[in-house]
Amino acid sequence: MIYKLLFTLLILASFNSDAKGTYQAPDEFIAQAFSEKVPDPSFVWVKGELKQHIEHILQHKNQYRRIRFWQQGQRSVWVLKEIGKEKPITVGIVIDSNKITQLKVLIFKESRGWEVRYPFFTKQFNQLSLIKDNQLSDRIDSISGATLSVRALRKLARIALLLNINIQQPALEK
Amino acid sequence: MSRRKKPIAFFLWHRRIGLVALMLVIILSVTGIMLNHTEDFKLDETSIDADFILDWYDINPQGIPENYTIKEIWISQWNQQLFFNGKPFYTHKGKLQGVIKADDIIAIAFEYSVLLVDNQGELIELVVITSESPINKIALFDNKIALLDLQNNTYLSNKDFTTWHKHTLTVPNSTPGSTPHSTPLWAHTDELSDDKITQLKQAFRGEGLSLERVILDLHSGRFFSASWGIYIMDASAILMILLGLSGLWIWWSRKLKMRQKKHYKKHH
Repeated sequence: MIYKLLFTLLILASFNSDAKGTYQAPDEFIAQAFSEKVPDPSFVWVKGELKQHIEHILQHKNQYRRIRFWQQGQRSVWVLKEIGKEKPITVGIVIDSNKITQLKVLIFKESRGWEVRYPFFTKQFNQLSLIKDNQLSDRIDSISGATLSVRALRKLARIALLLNINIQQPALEK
Repeated sequence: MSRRKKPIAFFLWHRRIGLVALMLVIILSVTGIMLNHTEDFKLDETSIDADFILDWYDINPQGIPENYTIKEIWISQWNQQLFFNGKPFYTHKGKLQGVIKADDIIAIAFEYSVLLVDNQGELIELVVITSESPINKIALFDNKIALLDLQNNTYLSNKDFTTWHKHTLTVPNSTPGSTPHSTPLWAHTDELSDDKITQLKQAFRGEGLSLERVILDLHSGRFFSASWGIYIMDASAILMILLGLSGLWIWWSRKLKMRQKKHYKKHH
């Protein structure tokens, strides 16, 4: 009985350790987002009002002043990072006509909260847009034990949508 | 025979325990007295400068700093810490390979990435470089950033420094009024003055280490090791208990013997 229990614990431990890591290389994600050739990256400067909005969403200082993105027509792709509890979570976000069409966890380094990688969770972001006060247009159900990771993904989704609006209305950055 | 040996063995163990516990008990007692009078001894106001203690706490940089100077800006790396004009502003595991300035952007090259910062040291972007081997050098070429890897492949950025492509650095025909950077200007390290090294060392140490922290750690045993140091002091406490008990036993057995002797003398 005790051996069975130990075996189960070992399996669970190995499953948990495998959960951390790179699920998809950012370059691969960007390439998949465009049916034709990947466009050259562009960038948006984080300053002025845009900086204030982003730091309000993040609830801390934004680290870099320039954020790169890839754009083709109405479609833009963003690869953003935010710390869940202690380590960064890298997320790829595809936005089409101001709505999220795909959100995917690309790299996860936290020791817990990795359940946010699963499509049952990430598909909640599909078709969401930004409404008043830079909030998402619908609620995202949380996952128990992964609250901080869920929070990080919500923030990144809001920032990507905000940046996407900004690249169409560059006046916001002034 | 064996009966006569027992008390000697007991005395021996009592002495051994006493000797082992002595050093630790002295540390425990002296540090305890000091901590009871923290303010009198000004423990919290005294900072430690001894290199061997700072090394022990891992808050002393190892080796010598790498530095690149561009006009009035000097960018240095000591261990994993990067400094902008002597102030810590970024940590990076990769080794610093060079620094150049293109317009208002400063490009700091590491083995697999280039960090872009502005004139005030604000971070702009960390660009990952997909080169065939680690980056070895960085240069300013035609107002763009050129990188040289260990296999002598060169990579040239676009004007926004967002992408790098493999490139042969050919010098364009010099025409009147051509850009001043038509030949690659490779970054070179330079030595820091003693004053600047001292400034970096102080910045690396941050608020430093107070004497109170060291005394507290000596008292708890954490000075010897953060994970198992406390068990040393636990062991010394257990040894002290054993020492007290064995002392009591020796005193009691002597008393018993004296009584037996007196009793024997009285009746014989």
